[in-house]
Amino acid sequence: MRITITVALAFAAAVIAAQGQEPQWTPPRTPDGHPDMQGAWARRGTAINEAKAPSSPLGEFNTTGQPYPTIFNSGVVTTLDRAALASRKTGVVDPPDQVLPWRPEADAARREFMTHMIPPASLKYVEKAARCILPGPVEGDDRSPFFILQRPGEFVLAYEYNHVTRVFHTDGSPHVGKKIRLFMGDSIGRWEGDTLVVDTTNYNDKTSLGRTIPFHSEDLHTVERFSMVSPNLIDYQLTIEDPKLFTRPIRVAAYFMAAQQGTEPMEFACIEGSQTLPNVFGIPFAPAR
Amino acid sequence: MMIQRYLIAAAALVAAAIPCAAHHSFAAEFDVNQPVTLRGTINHMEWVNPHTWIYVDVKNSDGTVTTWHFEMGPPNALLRMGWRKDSVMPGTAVEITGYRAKDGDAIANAKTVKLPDGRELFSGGSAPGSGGTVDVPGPNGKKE
Repeated sequence: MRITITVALAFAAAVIAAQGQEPQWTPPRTPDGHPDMQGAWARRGTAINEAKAPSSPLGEFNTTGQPYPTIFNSGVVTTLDRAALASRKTGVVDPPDQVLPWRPEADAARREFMTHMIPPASLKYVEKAARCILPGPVEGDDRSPFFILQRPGEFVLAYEYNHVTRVFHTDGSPHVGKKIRLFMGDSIGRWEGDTLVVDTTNYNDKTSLGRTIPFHSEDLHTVERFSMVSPNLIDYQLTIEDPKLFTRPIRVAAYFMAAQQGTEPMEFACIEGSQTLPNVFGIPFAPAR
Repeated sequence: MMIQRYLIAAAALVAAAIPCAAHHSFAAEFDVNQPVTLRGTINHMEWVNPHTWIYVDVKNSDGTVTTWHFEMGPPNALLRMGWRKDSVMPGTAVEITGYRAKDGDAIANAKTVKLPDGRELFSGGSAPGSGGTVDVPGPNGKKE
């Protein structure tokens, strides 16, 4: 079956190329007709790399040019993938100059907060990620893969990191009631053609948006767009809106690359043996066992 | 035992400066201005989330021995880089580089571990240069 499709696609590509047009790639489909994005993926580029951020040692090594280690990608193996990756922007793309549209009072508050983070004045000032708090819409550990599962009415994005599972309801369900507040929010998805658009609300205010945005409000609202653009690449656009932080929404461009065949989720239980808090507060090292 | 080394993909598939979601900040615990290179023998490894720890016995100039604690990447990251539980056995002589903890104790964030035969293993951790390679090229992805 796969060989037949490959031959058919190659033939179609040749015919279209002969006519002077770019061959159009279409993704494989689930039984209900939507793009089949299922499998194991490596997330890349999801971070708010703001320009003119407060100078802080927290941000060290984010911009040294060191690629953050993700060692389970399949690598780009098709010309379609290479074309999809070429000139691809990642990180903050709106605003294009990456100077975020802060509300002055929110900018002042986060700058003040950050002055107490290294060394942390108290537990409250320790980076959320260092406390194994759930990652919210931006954070996580991209040394770990993501897994997509689809069935009619649900699109599931499972992070290996810290057992996070996000279910995007695509069955027409509305959001849950406003009083329900969740670390990862409540997500509803709809298909716009072959793009899955995910609207997430009902966030609590307990997560961080990154090294320079240590907190946000419960008015946080995100819209994610997933488009499979080539066999090994899902384009991922993340729009972030928080009227208590920013005067208008910002957008991050990122992508998911296919992981190696056989990549399976392994437990990443952040809380298992973290020495971060003892190290940060200078408490004697406590062995795991 | 063979330890796989993933080769850096010849085509620069990923630009060096792609921002990525990272676990907690290196700088909260460790000091980039205190690089360390130590020679010692492996005491043991703790394969535990969120960071594997490698304990190295280092002989001091006065003849005493200090057991240093080196933080490495998560067990899953190490496994996928080719590390196994028997990759470095207790008693193996190693040269280990990294950055010392801010409180100046015998704790550091590991960057590389060099084995007696000269092979270098990356720690998978958060210090610059500790992750080894990025994209694994190869035959396992979907092909055209």
